[in-house]
Amino acid sequence: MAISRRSFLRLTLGTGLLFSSGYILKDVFMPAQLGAGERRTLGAYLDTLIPQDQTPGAVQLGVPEKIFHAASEDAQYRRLVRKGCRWLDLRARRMGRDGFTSLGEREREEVAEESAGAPAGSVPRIFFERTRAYAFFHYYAHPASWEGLGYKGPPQPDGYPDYTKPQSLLS
Amino acid sequence: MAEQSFDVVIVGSGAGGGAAAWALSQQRIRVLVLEAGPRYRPSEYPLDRHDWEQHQFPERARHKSRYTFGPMQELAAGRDDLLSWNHISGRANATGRRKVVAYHHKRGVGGSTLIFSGEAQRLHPAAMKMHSRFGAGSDWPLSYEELEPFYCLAERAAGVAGPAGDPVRFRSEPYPLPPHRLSYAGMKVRDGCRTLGLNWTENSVAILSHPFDGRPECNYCANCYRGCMRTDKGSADVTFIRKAVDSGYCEIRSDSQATRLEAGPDDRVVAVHYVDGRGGHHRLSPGTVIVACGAVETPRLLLASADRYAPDGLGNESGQVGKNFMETVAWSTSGIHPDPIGSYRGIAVGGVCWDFNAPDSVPEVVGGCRFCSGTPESELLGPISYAQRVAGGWGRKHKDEMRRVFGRALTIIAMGESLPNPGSYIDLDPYEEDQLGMPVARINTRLAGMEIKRLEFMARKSREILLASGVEKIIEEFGTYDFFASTHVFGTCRMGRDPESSVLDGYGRSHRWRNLFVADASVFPSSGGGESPSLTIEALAIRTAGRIGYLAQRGEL
Repeated sequence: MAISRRSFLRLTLGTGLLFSSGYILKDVFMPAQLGAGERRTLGAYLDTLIPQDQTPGAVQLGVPEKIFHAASEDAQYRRLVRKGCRWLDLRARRMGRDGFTSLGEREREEVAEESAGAPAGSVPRIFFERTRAYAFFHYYAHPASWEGLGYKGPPQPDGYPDYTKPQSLLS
Repeated sequence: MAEQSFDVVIVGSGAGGGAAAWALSQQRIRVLVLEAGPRYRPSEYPLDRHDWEQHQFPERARHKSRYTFGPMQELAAGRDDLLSWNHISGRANATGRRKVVAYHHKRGVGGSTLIFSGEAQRLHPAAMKMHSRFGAGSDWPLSYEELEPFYCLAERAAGVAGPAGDPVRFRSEPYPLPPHRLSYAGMKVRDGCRTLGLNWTENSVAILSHPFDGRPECNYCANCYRGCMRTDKGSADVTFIRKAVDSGYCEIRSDSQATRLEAGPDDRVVAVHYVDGRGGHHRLSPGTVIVACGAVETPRLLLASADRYAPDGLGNESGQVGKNFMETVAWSTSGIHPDPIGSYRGIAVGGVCWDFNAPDSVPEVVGGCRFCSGTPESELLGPISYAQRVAGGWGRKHKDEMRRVFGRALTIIAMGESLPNPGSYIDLDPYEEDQLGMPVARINTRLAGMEIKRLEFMARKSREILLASGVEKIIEEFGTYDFFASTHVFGTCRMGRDPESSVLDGYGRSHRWRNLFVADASVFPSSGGGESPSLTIEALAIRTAGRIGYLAQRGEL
């Protein structure tokens, strides 16, 4: 199995490298929780990805808290969120604002559009795709998100005894 | 029962092990079933929770075996028509090589029937004579007519619902239960097939259309593969195993992994070694051993049991243990239908087109296939999957799109014959071991030219059927050209008349080891033309159990 350069250096040079290598220290001692500012930025981004209309949005259904939790359990995703939030705030500052949370709805949508259309493999694009996937995963697990879909889940205990009829007759 | 009092030890409790246990117990033969995985309770399947879609079938320790893969096949350039893709996420495999999804299986009392979709189909009789008719693969050492009475027994025990009037597969009695009505979405596919001049019929399934044998009828939640809470799906745990245990002649030991079969000097297996869930080592000496772990794990156990009496692996005198591996050859095409069809309802695979199932029915291709409506089987069952794979986007547009498309996805699934080739086999990984120190199975897989030609036909016809069914836009395709994703695996201990080219005789008995039998799809000499194998596995296992009873009475084991 291939061994990474970092693992190789750790194995061959020992702990001495730890104190001369800021990035390793940063990884080891990086807080396991997102900061308050990052939470606000991520919450605003989620509110843009799944806004409230005739049905609740991501914020109303508690999706940000679920994703904060996911970030606290997954160091890799946490790093991505940090980078993504920095990118969002940077775009906002270039628009003359303090950060993403200070943008209006239209401006947030512009920035979100930019993240969605960023080159494949770039930080904003990966941040968008992964955060959207998490958001959908948690948002659509909530029954309040099902209004308007004609969906009367969960599958049990009632099943779908009207399965031979069009769906519209069920909703 | 004392350890010494078992007449037969069965390793594995899926379709084959379960059916064999039941059939032996009916003969008052004392059976012990060793199951490597845990025991599941239907009430623990999370389908009645609001967050149901976030959960698959419950995963517990030992719920899957470990396995590895040999080098994956390089993909030929210019075959974009066979690549998997989704309209939101794009091409699914851009590596230029086949990629592994999984060998889909389940350890647990009931085996992979815990997660199967309930399909209970008989093989096409002509697909059992592939070598003599087409020079491909090998022939079955028994005919469809010989197997037919055992199909009936399996159908009664599992509670199969199916339609009358199959022109190809002779039946000596009707299905135990009437067929399930087509879903609204399934009717669209039926109508589409009619416009193409194709026949469409209700699927035969081990899913109850009426209460039967103390179990309730299906309520059409379509989530068979997440586990059946109601027990209307005829998985082995609620049918064969339950009946076997109720007989008083069968004991099940879950979390008990067989690690070695010990061969003796007189062409007999003298012991089964297993490790229980607490790490305790045991040695049993039954009169007869049936291995029923599936076409990946069964050859693993036999090869790992090599000793001085069986230096190349138990039962491997022909060198064929692990060879002739046949995998799932499958294709699915999904699109959006303009009508509110509510395709997440019904049974998982409700209707079938058998028109191309005969081995000579696909132009210029040896080996058949079948087409079915399978939106639930493609896991488009709830809002999360629709958001990720169908609607996409974000913001208000995404929510509007969800309201427009939810429930309207329609999927055609095609399953085809898989012929053996020298590049597809199971062996023991020389480097990897499981937690018990047993070498893991290595899956070596290669798609030959005939499989690729068959996949071409399957993909083309699936698109035709889908568009004829009224779909406006195709949004996703997935196939086994660029992915290995197998549920149905076959052939790695095949039956045959010639001990030089096969592992087992026509009753699943080792040509050499008199008290060693195999009862799973590894015995299949050919895969069939896309039929799901569980019913055939059960019928063969019941026949094997009958043979064991006969031989035991005559003192010939």
